[in-house]
Amino acid sequence: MTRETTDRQVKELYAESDAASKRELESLANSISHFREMVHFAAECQGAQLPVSAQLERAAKRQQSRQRRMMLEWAVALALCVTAAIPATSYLRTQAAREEAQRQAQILQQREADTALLEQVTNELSESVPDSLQPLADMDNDYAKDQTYTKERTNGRN
Amino acid sequence: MASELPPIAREQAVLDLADFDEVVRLYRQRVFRFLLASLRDRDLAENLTQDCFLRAYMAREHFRGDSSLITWLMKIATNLIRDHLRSKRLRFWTKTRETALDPVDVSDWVPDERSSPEEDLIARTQVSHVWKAVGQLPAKQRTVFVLRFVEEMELREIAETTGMNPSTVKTHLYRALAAVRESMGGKL
Repeated sequence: MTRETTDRQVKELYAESDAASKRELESLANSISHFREMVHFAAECQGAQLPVSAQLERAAKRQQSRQRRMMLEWAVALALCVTAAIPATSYLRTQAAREEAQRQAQILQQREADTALLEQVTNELSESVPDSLQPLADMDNDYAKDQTYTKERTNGRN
Repeated sequence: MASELPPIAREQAVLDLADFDEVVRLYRQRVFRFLLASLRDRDLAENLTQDCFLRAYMAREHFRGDSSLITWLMKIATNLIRDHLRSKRLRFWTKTRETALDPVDVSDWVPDERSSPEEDLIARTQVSHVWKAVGQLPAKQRTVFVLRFVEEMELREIAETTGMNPSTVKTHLYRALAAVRESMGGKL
């Protein structure tokens, strides 16, 4: 294959591709042009038009009704929010009351436990002998009793 | 009315209360066409066209003539489309209208009176594909596409109408065209 042949082939290929792109673009332009014509035609196929004042009046009425509808929608939304908020508030309030009662009960329990502990401490403090030394004290008492008993017996004999 | 006035001054003068009928007569068709191509619903386009002129009438004091009257009206129409699409998203439970426009419905439309039935059919098929492809474009791209290819507005005017930068308009247009071209890929 000579260099000239290759160049010619490349040129032909380019020319073909160029022509294909051109055809495609022409077709696209044509389609868009038809699209424009069709839209123009569709827009022209309107029914009888109202006088301008009547058109503006209709638009104004529509605007008013739109505003009213919007207000109504906001009112409905607000009502729905309130309706949903009432049970939620009530639930939250009940929940809060329940938690408060539980807290109070806990405080009361704590207070009772504290009182009992304090009483126990007071009792233990008021004892003459600590619990740990009680056996010794008991032994001492027993010994004192024995001594008394012995003395009494001795005195009785005398 | 003074025909010697420059176009914008003449348009401003036309916006007088007494001449509002003239404004509607001059521009109603274009506004309606833009809304119809954007929303694809005849009744909705009709209602929004009326809303557009009502807004223009209410705000006529604020029209300073910085842009042409049609650009101002198209800007109002674009805002109405945006508001409508936003409220439609919020009102997802509302029914779809029955008056949606379909190119198949426009049976009286003849692409070219001299064309053969075969060419006629091809043209209708092409229109149907473009219509479908445009319908799938995102809202901004569709607006730019319709303003450029249906209303044949300049990029500068589209930028003024949509409130975008001219470069953003170009980007949207490029993407829209690419999407239409791609979706028509095998059908051209």
